[in-house]
Amino acid sequence: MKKLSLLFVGLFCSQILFAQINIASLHNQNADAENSFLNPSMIGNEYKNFKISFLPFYANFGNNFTSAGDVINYVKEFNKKSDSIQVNTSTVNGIMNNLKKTNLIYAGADVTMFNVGFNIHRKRKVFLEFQLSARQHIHANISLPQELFYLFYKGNKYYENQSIDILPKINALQYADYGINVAKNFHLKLNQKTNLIIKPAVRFRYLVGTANVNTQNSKLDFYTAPDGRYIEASLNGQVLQSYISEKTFSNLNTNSISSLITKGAGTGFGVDFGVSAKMNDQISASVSMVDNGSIQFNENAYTISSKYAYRWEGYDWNKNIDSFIIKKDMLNLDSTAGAYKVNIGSKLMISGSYGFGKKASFKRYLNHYHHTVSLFYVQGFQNYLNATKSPMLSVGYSYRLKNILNAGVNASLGGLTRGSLGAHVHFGLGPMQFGFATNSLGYLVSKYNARGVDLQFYSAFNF
Amino acid sequence: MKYIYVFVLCLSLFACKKQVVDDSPIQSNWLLPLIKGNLSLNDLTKLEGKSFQYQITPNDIGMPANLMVSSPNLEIDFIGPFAIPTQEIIKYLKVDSIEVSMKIQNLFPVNFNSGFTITMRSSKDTATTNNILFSTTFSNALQTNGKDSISLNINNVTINDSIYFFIEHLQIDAFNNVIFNENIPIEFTINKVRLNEIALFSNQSIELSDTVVFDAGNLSSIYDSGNSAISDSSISGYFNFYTDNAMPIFSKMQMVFMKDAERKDSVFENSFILDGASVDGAGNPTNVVSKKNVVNIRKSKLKNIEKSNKIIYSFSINTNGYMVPYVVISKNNLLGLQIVSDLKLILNPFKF
Repeated sequence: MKKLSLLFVGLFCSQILFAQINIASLHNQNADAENSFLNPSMIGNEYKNFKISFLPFYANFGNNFTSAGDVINYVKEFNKKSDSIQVNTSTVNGIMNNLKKTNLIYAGADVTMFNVGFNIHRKRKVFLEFQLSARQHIHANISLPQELFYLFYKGNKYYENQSIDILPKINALQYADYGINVAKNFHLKLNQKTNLIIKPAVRFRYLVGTANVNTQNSKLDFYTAPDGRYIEASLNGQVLQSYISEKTFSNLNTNSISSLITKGAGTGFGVDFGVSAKMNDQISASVSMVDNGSIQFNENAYTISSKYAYRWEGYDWNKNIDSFIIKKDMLNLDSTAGAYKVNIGSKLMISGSYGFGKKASFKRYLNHYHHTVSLFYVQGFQNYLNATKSPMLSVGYSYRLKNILNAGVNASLGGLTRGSLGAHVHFGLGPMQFGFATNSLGYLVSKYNARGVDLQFYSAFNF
Repeated sequence: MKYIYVFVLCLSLFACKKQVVDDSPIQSNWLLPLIKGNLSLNDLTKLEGKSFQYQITPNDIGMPANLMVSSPNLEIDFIGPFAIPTQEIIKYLKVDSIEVSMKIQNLFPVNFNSGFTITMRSSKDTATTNNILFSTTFSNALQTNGKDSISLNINNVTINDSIYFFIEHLQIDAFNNVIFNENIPIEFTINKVRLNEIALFSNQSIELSDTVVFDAGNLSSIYDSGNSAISDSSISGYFNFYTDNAMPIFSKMQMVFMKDAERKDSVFENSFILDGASVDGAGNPTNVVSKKNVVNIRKSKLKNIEKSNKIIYSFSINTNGYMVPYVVISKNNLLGLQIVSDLKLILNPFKF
């Protein structure tokens, strides 16, 4: 009963917590090569000598404020083309009532161009585990303030005598990373029956940025004076951009494109840390901190800033009508060429797993239980790229039959989509293996819980 | 194992959220400043464009009408005055500049010799030159049926009750057997005036009232979508009139909507009231009085307006209650006006 109570307390707490990553894949122990990008210490777990991946990818799209059911209902009502004000407003009211303080829309993809893991043995035991990788990432994140929606939904009287920031923030980054990951097992024999393996790992990444836009520090404050005597909009904009502007695109030629691909518009370094502990192949725990790093954009890099305030007190018959028209030069637009730095969205992940049922061994190097329950907690530190401040807690189960089959389900709370149901499946045919994972099964339970769609595919040779 | 099942079950339960149906109308409340500005005494005293018509009769030159007459040379010192009156409430007007044009057509059967003058005086007294504000001389003769016009620009003058125009030093050559059967029309038009100061007698008022034909058209298309389920209108709310008055005048305004002789509704519940500023001993304003007048926009009012077929509007200004002989309004004493809408809209989120 005590355990159940703790369980409920834990679940309740998870409701008030708030990272979008492929959580379904993490519950698949066979996808260690891909999972190692979220925890470097996960490499080398599922192969003896060598593993090479073939263009695995993960793509996802989601938001945290409206569900597939809401969108479907809205489209149905919209198609009725009703002129009446007596319309079914429950959809719109529902969407508005479920808005978050910050409403996020995210789309992204990670494509692994090259990924090779290999173990170095000494005295028939794994001495060091290495991984070399080259990946392409594209992430875009738009955050829409609640106040923007409410302003149109409830009117500006709702914000009388308040200043609200109504500017959507956009950040998008395309970059490649070339990484080398190294991990080492440390075996500790605690007693006759208890073996503990601790594996620290670190991945060094050379980052090559291709394009970026970031409006994170821009603000558009909207103020309605008491009794509506005046309305003021104050823009304080700052846009960092590299290889995004129309001018840049119009000047692109074969040479510049070639240079962009090979050298990038900016470079930087990153590092991922991870450590895991495994006891008797049954219980494991790990913690990792990934995507720590930044890219300095040098090529076609501009900081565009603007500062302008517009105050409306009504049409003033004492003034010329031209004085009410906002002209471009009034916006004080300033475009300054110069390098700037952006980070890539750090995340913290803590995990634990427990194996039970029949214990099996595969080719003497891989010991595992048929049943595994795993728990993951992922926390981003800002609503940026593929990171969110909304923590994610995920619990999953997987059934495993040697390297031939691994299938499981998981349920998650928090993160970008505020909750998901996912599943994974892995097939191994000798040295060849492939698998799928998705976190988009919430729709099958309720379309009102489906706020995103994603898919992972991987294939590899495993020796 | 059972804990795992319970765990997953509970997690699923927490992940599922019951849909709460909220089908209430989407009501949006907007505060929007519509119009604003300052009115000066130059805006309030609508003198520009005003025309005043007069006639010179045969009697004015000492000739009988509709009779054949002959005469030796005539020399007439003054014809007039032709007065452009101000309101009785006005003690004086200090004018920075005024531009007046005059048109004349000689319909007498005799010519006016060149050299006659048009004089503008601040009083009727022709015995003095001290009251002459402006004088101009016609350098050409004005032949029978001939037309002429002049434009007068005067700066920095003080006008009391009226402006008086005279035709002076008119000379007509001898004529025989002519009949004066028409008058000479003269028209004065104030083209431009810039007032510096105006003084109004205390405890005086001016009231204007008029009735105009009115047709509201299909107003129901604005206030009602024809949906009986919505008890109130799709648009309702208030227009708030904010005034900041630095002038020492009180005013009252109302527009009443009538259906024939029946009063249907009015714009303001209790007239638009404007309180005057306080004054010092010299009648100069000493403060700014702020006030808010409200127009309630509701479905019933719009329905009443739609039924109306005429509007009676009334406007009055007064200087009642001031303890000084007169109050002074300078061009720097402004009446600030702002109209802000406070509207409640019922939105259809599926119609763009």
